[in-house]
Amino acid sequence: MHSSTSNSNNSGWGKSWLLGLLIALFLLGGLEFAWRINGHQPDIVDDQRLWAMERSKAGTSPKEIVLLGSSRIQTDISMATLRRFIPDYNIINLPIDGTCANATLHDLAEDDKFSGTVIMETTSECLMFGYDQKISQQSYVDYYHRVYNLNVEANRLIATFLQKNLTIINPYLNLIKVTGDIIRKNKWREPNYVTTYEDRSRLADYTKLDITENKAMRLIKTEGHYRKLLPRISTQLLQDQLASINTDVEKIINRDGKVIFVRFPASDEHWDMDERYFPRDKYWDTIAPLTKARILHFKDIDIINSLRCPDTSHLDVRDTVTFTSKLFNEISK
Amino acid sequence: MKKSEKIKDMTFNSYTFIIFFGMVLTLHYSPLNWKFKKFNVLVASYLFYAAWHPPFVILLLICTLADWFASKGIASSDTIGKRRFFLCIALCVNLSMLAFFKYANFLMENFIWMMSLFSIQYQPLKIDIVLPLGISFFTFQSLTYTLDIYKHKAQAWPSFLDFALFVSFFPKLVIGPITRAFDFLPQCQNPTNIDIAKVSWGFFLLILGLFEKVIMSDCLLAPVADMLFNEVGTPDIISAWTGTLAFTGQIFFDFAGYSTCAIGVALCLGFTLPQNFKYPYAAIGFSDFWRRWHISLSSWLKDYLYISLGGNRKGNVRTYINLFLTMLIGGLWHGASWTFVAWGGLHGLYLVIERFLKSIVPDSLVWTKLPVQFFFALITFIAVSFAWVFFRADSFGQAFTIITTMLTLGPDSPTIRIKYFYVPLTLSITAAILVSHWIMRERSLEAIIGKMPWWLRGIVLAVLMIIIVTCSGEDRAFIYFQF
Repeated sequence: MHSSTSNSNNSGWGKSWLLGLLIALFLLGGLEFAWRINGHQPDIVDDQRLWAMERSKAGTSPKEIVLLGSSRIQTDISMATLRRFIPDYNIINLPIDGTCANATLHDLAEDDKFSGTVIMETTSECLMFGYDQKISQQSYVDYYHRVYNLNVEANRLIATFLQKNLTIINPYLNLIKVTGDIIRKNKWREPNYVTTYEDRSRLADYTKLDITENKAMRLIKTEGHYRKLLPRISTQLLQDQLASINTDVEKIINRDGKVIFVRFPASDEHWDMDERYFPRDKYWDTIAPLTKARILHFKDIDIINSLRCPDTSHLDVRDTVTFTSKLFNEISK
Repeated sequence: MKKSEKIKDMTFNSYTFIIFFGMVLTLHYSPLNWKFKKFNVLVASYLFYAAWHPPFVILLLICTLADWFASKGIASSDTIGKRRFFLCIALCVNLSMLAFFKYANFLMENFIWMMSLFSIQYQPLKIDIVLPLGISFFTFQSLTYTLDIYKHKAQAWPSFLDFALFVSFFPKLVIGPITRAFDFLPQCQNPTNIDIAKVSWGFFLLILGLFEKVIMSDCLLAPVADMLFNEVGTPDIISAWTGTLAFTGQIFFDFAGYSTCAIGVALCLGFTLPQNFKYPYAAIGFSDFWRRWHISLSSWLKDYLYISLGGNRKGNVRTYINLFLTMLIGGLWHGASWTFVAWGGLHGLYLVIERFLKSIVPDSLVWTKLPVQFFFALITFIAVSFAWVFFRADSFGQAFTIITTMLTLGPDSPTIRIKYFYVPLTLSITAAILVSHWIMRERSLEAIIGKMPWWLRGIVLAVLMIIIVTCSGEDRAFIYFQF
């Protein structure tokens, strides 16, 4: 677009840069201050690089617990609580939003150095369709093996440092999106209800969210997904998936590792929908015992069953300590 | 690799690049001798490349050594036979690397398909080949040296250090601009001294390029294009047009943004790289488009391929064939996929039709009138946008679905709908691109920025930096990394 020759008017460039930097620093500082006094906070961007960095920690010690699954395990587990229970363990957080963890389980199974414990949040759908490209974690696994290197790690460390300290680079506060909100909804962005930490854990404070819209969107999306899956269920598919899962589970167990499959809480409309499309007695209770992993279902754990997900799919930050403690007790039995 | 899958590494929009470039600049402007400074940039270039996939620096080295020694052989040969022999060595080394890494899987897939036509189920061992970043660019650049010596356009360069620096020079290494050896090498002769204006302009271009990439491409247009191209199904007509226009803008800002950054970074080090984009969406006709879009590639293809095929010296029909062939190969150069070939072929067809029409339509003053020229520019833009569908689509099926929808009213029950908020946004940006390119058609940005008072330039810089910091979208790799 632009010619490579040097600029014809050489005068005043030093002054231009000085002025530009001063204005930018002043306005960015002002914006940082404005966001913070309005309750906004810095936030960590959870991307492939951060996942890969976390993945690189697996297989470095036998005292490891790897958390796998989707946003449910990422949001429902209180890392601080878990660390209190097992202070001498490395906790490696590898869930990915809206996905099934089968591909990551396979990756850990193939990693001879890994001999820790896997706690995998899963569902009947994931046990049957977890390798589907759209919901698989394979792209993250590939990224870790093909792209992740020292440079990526260095980049990610700098990004994490900046994201931890600056509100202005929080993508939730992207000025274009904020402007879009003002145009479309005629309102400023409220502080985000979700906070992500550098260990990839997340906490959701649902008092900051208008649940109705969020819940409706989530249910429509999930129902659309279920509708596409239902006609594809077949005995052959199920057998194939279970064979793959069991091979992976066996490999980890044979190295003195442990694998626990946990169905995490859902409530109200979401649970009703789950029961409509994939009734527990027909699917989970039939399929899950066929795996060689230990199985837990939230409905079978009294206190956890009584917890309610405000958006029907994830727990509020206030319930995560109870949930984590109870889950840990169950797993330890 | 699917077209939508990208590789991220040390590029101009990464944090490590800031540290890396700071160190390179510090050493470059330290009171050391020129040879050491060039060595510093050479080492930096290899580190830059290694930051992505360290073992592949060997390819860079092989490419450098092959062209260096083959050219030496050509220069010292007294017979045409020997000269051809050394040229063949250089071509074989460069093109076989390109063929293996870029086209092996593609050739194998097509071979399997052809076998299946004869009911032969051939299942070879699948090889997982990683495409080396920028291989299409550095092999073409390196070849310019050998080809120019072979054609007696230049003498063999005396310094290997200079030549190695030319091949690996990091600002242009991975996606150009494709620089000719004898445009770059003379710049290695004299030491570069600090020129504040030059460095300042270089940094300005770096900031401007980042703005194009991070804001215009990644934040505003890429999400809209993805809504169309990353989904499986049939779009409605509005979504088909919106997604296509969004990609038309995205690819310009993405690629021109990288080129602008590359030129800026090189300028900070005291090196001048060729211009790669000149407001292409204001092109009047397709030959004009290719004089404005990826100029370094189109001029490479013209000088080293089209003219070698005979150019326009062998009659009209042969000229049309040469044009078409050049564009087909240009399409294939972009990627190992038939959709890229179709994209190149479509541009070849556009050029042939344009040339044919020019030969039969008499010259008239009417064609020079502003509204007529603007109309032709608009037609060019729309035709180019249609061609981008093939470039971006993952399959012919997807491309045909989108194009059919654009040309008809679309299906009764579309399954892909771009949120309507993005329609006016994309149309506004497209209109802004067209108007700004039209205004800048015969102008130069340097002249305009140069005439600005210092305080206004300062404000422009501040605005660009603030927007980059506060409006960054999803972190995406440059589209041309996959080529």
